[in-house]
Amino acid sequence: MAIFDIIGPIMIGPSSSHTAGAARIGYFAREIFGNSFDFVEVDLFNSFADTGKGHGTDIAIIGGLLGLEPDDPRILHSFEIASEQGMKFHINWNKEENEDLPPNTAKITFYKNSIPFYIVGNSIGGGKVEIININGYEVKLSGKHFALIISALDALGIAAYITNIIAKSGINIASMDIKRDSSIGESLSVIKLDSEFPDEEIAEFYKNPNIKNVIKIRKLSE
Amino acid sequence: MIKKVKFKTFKDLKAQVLRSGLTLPEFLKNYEAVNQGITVEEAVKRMKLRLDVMKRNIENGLKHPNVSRTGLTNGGAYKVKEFFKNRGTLLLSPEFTEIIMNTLAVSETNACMGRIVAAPTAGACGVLPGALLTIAKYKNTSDEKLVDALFVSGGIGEVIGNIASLSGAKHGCQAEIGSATSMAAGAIVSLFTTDIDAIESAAAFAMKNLLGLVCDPIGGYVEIPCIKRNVSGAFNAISSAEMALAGIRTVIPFDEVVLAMKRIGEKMSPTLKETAEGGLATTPTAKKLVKRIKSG
Repeated sequence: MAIFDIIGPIMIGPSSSHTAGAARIGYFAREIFGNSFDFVEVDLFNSFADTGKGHGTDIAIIGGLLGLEPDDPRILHSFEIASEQGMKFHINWNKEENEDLPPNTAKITFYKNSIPFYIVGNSIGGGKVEIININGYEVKLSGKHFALIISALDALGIAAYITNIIAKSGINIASMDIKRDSSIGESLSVIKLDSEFPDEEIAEFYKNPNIKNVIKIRKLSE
Repeated sequence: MIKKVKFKTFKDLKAQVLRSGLTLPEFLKNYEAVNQGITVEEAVKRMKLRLDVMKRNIENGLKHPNVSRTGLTNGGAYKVKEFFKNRGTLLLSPEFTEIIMNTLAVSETNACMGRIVAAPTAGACGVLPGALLTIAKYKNTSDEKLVDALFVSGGIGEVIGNIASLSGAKHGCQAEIGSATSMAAGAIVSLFTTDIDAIESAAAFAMKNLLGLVCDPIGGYVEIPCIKRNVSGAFNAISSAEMALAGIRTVIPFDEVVLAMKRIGEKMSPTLKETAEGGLATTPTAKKLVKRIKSG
């Protein structure tokens, strides 16, 4: 543990898990999906749904989705800011206990042209969070690393193709995790990197017709 | 520069500090800088940011009555301030009253969704600024020294996190207010002496006094009894610091006190660890209040 995690984080109260963590899940989700969507639906589960109202979990997540960090006092007015910016959202308080999900869980579903894309985040305490699912693929992202998330058709040599491009860019891979969904013939690779992958080289991935989508994730600040 | 370092226990930390020839705050500044991959100046700057937030919380938290989303927090700090302003000191000294209102100001700011420094948690965020900054005001302590003291408190917190945990869900309130009060006690002592044994004793006294404290917040909200427990934590830190500065030394080493805290935490019923299923949280009045909050 770092001293700055003990005397810190600087955050909007009252709860590191239910407020700061919730804001960070929203922020992280926006970092993954981007801010171009027509509608966003937030599902709160278990303790988030149970005590989220009093802890401001709802306004914290919407604040995060607006790009506000967990210590930004504007979180208090996130609903107003969302309406000014034309961000349409709906929050579902799932009162029924869901034993398959961790205690403080939020599912965030973005809709663009009526196509849903969802991210599931878990607030693990002290303001820290984990993204545990992206559109049906189990992942484990904490925001501590730069990362690339690449979805591709499940074809031979995809992993080699991806790592080759990263190697050429001169960036070290901290870890790589590939998940396959054979029912739809797709794979999802989560690659954690030591430094940021350059924007101008993202196009390299798309030269392979099997690669469908590349998402770049920045390291989240303290 | 020191290489990437780690310490697990206070004993371990003390040995490394003695070997380094540095004072405890100097050692911890270096430690954090190396582990974060930043310069000592940058580490000091980051801690100063935290100090500034704490100061602002005291100032702003007393400007008007703080009312939380649940309504459970309703202007306590302001009430103490107004009473003090209009009627003067009631029981002891102005300092005594000021510690109460400053601690309340920070904890209420947290409950009302203000921007605070978790120290070590949001629920316990009033103890350290309430105790340390009020004493600093009366002793004309420089910001530089206060930053050093915050590093000392962070080092103590780190030992507790290493041996046990800083989470109420894991070990009850003794791990939150208990840890905060240990951290504050050591930090206060560090303003007056570099004697690491005195710092250890203060931290040990403070934790010993709160062993067994359960986490039973009404409705799961960090308000009742949390906010006023911050005040008792602040006073516990100050009395522990004064005993240590007077030369009393702890018989049980701090590491063992923390180990005891962990063992007690493990034996504590889950209903008394932040789940709001026991203690004050299940009193008839608490149940009524929660019903009202959740329906409104």
